[in-house]
Amino acid sequence: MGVRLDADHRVKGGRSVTSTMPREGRPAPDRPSPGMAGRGSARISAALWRRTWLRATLTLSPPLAWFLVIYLASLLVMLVTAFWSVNPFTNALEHTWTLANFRELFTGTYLSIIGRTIAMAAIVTVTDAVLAFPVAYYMARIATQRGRQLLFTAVLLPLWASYIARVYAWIVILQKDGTLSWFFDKIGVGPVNIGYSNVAMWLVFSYIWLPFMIAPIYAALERIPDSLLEASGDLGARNWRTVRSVLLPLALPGFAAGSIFTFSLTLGDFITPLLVGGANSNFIGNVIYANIGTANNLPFAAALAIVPIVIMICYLLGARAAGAFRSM
Amino acid sequence: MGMQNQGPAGRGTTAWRQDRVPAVRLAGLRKSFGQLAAVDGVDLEVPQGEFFTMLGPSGSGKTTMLRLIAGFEQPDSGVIELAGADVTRKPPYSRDVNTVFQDYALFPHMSVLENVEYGLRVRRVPRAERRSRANAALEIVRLPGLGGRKPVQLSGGQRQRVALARAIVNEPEVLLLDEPLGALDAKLRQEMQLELKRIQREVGITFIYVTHDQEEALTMSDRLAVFDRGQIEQLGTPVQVYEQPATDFVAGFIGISNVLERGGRRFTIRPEKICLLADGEQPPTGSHIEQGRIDDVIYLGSATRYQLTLSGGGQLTAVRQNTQDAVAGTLGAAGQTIGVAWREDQAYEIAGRRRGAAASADDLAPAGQRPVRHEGRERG
Ligand SMILES: Nc1ncnc2c1ncn2[C@@H]1O[C@H](COP(=O)(O)OP(=O)(O)O)[C@@H](O)[C@H]1O
Ligand SMILES: [Mg+2]
Repeated sequence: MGVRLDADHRVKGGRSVTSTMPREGRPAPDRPSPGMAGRGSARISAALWRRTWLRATLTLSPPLAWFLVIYLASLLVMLVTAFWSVNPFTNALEHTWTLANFRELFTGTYLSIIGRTIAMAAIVTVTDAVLAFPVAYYMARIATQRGRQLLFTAVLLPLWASYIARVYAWIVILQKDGTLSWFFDKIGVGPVNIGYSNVAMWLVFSYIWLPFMIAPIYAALERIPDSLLEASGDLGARNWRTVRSVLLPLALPGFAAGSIFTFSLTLGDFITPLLVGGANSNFIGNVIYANIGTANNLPFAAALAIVPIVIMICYLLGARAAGAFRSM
Repeated sequence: MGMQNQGPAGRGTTAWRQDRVPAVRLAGLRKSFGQLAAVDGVDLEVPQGEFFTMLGPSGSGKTTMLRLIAGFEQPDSGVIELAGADVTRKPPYSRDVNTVFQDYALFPHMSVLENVEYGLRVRRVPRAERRSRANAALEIVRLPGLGGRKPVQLSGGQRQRVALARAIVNEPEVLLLDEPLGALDAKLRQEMQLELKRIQREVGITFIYVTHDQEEALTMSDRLAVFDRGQIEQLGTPVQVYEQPATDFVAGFIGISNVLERGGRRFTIRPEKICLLADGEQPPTGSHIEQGRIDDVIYLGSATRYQLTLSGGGQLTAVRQNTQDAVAGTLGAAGQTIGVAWREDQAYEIAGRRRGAAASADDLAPAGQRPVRHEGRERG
């Protein structure tokens, strides 16, 4: 980390030192003298050239303002709402500060929902990482140019179809009398019924988020120079050792980026639990959804919605501490 | 420095082989990429402890040669032997060879020390020994105390040294270096040339060094092979290759050379061996004398270069040192005619282009001027 900062500083320092823009009061002699307006704009652009931060701020400020207003403001509203309550008789919002919503989060029902959601997100993330690595490896380091394009299209293709359509496709596959059951029946295992269960959700989540894991791992693997892998073999490492000691550590930022997608997307999703979930399939997402809709308890929904945010912050801090972004 | 004796697998026991078994033996080596023959039938022997250079223009197959020896490429045909053992079909990790890559290929996620220790760790060398050998290697390349840094924190020259330490710490039979100084600036390059020679002497490992820089090849090598289009044009010591180029190609690639045809025979002669005769000056005995018209005079500082057209036909470049009694410009300006002389024994007969006229090269050359490119084979 420290290195990168140093390098940045050096670049910045170098740029300001070697700046060839004329200073104020010393216009370039070979240029025809510009009018007042011209000189003013030249001055502004010179000032901008010298002050990198100023340039960055001016360029970034419109999107930054947008981000602040839309994103942070709505988050803030949610945070505030979480400290309000709903009158159980009139169903009206009561604007009095209370910690009751958060206290309720720490009761058994909700703790087990939170725990189940985290466990599902973790299992889906690991599953996707395991599935994505060989695919990404093949795409990045073995396939020909053409094969790579085909595979990349194949990986991204599902993202063009509607999310709902893909989940329904899985329902058709997994439900009682579905394709999977029919297949197992044919090969003599007997009918299976895993539709509407946590297993079904695990399969559907893993399938739906897989492209989000493959793409960053592919990008990380593709950046690794061949010579590093050859150097490892040259120094006596067999293939598996090279994968373990060189390839995987260098692909780690890709895994980290992919896992942020799969983990957070699973944490917040409410459609798949609604459509594929069974008896024990209450997740943070669909409980929030139920509290907004059926139960009409917006404050509690807001309190519950803060949970995934806190979990993701912990997740990112943990990944950073583990060095997952070091070579990014 | 006794690098070889530090490990338990030191090569003391195999010392008896040093005269007999070459470190590297290549026989009939061929490798094509599609239609293109990158390595086109190479026979070569490199004795143990030699600083051997492969010199050739870009695209002449030098890198492919190294990759074949290291095991990154499989030859279409031919044999590769390391210290007498056939390794042609062995993977890189079971060959006793290490490579210094042109881009250094240091592992960015490991510290300098971890990089240097990598080969030993893979081979399960105990931790304490690993440490001491890695530190010894860092000392040899003059980088002690930098073990904790990451490669990004090093300068180009320092990375170069780490790459070298990472290779020599394994005490390989042969060290392969692919244009290792190519990425360095001129001053650092000269410094590293001397360093590499010193390190090679200290560790006693056979070096196979690839470069396209003829000056580098001449100053560093014990012997060198000049490559062109996947074949060895000439093999010999720097003196042999420079003074007695075997072919047009070698003559042209190494230094400025003059190729003249007299009486159906083709000769080459180096510019500094040509004697330009001022008025009334006598040539050394045994000289061949002709008249030449000066086309151009180029002042180089310590020497002056003359471009001449000879009365007997052909162009000639001559270089005259600007010593006290031969001041620049005293021989006359462009357009004048002067005497040109060279000693018969310093004009070397060459074959035509080697390809297509391979057999004739030895037949044409008189005894004592035989092209030296078969030397390697005769040794074996
Ligand atoms: N992997 C490869 N695929 C196709 N052609 C190659 C490959 N490697 C080398 N070549 C070709 O082989 C020839 C020799 O290349 P190389 O050994 O790299 O030469 P040098 O190192 O002397 O510059 C070149 O024409 C190069 O284009
Ligand atoms: Mg090369």
